[in-house]
Amino acid sequence: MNRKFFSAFCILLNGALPSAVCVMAQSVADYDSAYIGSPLPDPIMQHNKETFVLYGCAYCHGMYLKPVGEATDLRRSVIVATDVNGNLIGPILRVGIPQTPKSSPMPQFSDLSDQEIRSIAAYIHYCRATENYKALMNEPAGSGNLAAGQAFYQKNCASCHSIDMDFKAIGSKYNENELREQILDPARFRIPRSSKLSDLGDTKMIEGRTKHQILLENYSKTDVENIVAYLRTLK
Amino acid sequence: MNRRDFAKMVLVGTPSLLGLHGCSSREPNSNSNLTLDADSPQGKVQNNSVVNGVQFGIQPFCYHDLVMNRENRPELLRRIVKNGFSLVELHATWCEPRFNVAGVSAVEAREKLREWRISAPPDYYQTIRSEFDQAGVSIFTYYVNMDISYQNNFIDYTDEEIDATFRAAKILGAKGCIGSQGLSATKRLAPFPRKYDMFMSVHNHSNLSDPDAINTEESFVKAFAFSPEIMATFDTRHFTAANGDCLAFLERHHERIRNVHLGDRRKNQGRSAPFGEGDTPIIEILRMIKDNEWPIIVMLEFEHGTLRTGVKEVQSMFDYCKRALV
Repeated sequence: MNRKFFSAFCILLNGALPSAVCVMAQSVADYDSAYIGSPLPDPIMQHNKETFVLYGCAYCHGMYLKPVGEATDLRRSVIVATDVNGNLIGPILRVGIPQTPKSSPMPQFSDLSDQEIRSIAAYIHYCRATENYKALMNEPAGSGNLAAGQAFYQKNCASCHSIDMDFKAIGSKYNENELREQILDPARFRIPRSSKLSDLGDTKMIEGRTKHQILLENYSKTDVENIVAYLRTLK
Repeated sequence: MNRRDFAKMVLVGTPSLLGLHGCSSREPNSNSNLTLDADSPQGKVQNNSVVNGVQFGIQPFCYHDLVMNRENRPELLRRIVKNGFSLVELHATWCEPRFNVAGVSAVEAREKLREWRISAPPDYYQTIRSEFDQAGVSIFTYYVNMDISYQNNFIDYTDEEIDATFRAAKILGAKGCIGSQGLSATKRLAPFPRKYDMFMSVHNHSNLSDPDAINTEESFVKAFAFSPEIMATFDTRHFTAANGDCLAFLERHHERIRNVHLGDRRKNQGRSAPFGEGDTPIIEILRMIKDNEWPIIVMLEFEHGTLRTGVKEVQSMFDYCKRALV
């Protein structure tokens, strides 16, 4: 549909708009914001959260992963920590955990689509990253190990960043606190997610955002202090 | 027990004549089925969560956002009334203080709770009962897990504490206590309800890997054998997930079933589902209870996900049941 045709379509639709608005207002009124929380700014993550809620995950594992009753604490799960796009979470969702000492075994969700599994996994990772960010930002600053920071950089950062290009003299550009903030929550990702192609003509921004979220949910305080110590030397 | 006995049993616990207060505080658009009887000089609250002879109640787990503590009890009552129920299965946490706070170990918290239960004065529970009476809601069962707790992982109920729990339930007007305890704990509890002219209900889950769990018809039968006062709170969701036949179970054991936790799940340990989307024969269960005039209370309960409020979801489930019982 081209833009002109789209305008004509909108004018035609206008007559039906009041009832559409009415339906929308009704559905918004029914939305349980007291339980689910206000809609997230990112509509994709909001959809992921709703999938997490609709399949009953939130009922046991908690809306923000604080478990209710005997459910597994996904904030502390090693499996979740190493999951990428649902590759480990998905198989568990599909078959459940029938053998367990708990009174209610984890149900199986064999009817989930691959997309639904990715959505559920994405929301779980988002919650973990959000919580870890808050925890690490509240930690008092410590002294890091330069060599360990360099090793961490080579393993986790060097495939996308370069100390000769975007990270050149980064230790002069930011002070210690600013570096810590940039590591945990890079300024480039503080804007709403966009599907617009990046200045490189691709979607690396989306990839980068995903990679940083995976890093963020698993950073330890020591990791962060080590990277800060290393980046401080790049002047 | 025939239907007349059943009516007596329910009405004995039906809220007192103070219902005017509770009703006046209801929202104007409330869809509650509790109404004042205009012909009654006392203005008695009618127990109207009966649909074509089937008595309904609610398991408050339905209100997922509402933390189960005594501070939230007024809001719980408001929602129960709004949903139009006159019977509730009340979990002890709606009545008891919480001791598991920061700085207190699980063992210490457990000891404090025990001491509190044993020493709680009768007036404390009488006041809670009055709150429910005034709102037109009867407490049918009192839910306490007197078993290995997954939270602190030890069996530690003393006889004194079990007695205190039944006494509390009695004052609240409950006809029985219920818990999700296993067979070994049920055996130990079996002599207690008789002392209070009450029953002790066992509630099934779907864990088939634990030989002590209440999960299948066979496990229920073992529990029933411990004492005539051991009854069933039959959870249709978990029974379905454990591949049980709900209708066959009702047919064979209806005399030992005091209430049903009515909800839908998929078989083979499947997920909870909105009414009509799982494998639980919800409509058939309701028709069976109605057509046979069994005095089994239907407690609505759901664990499936929804974007709607608990009140809206319960209303939709209750409407489903009403359509099934036309």
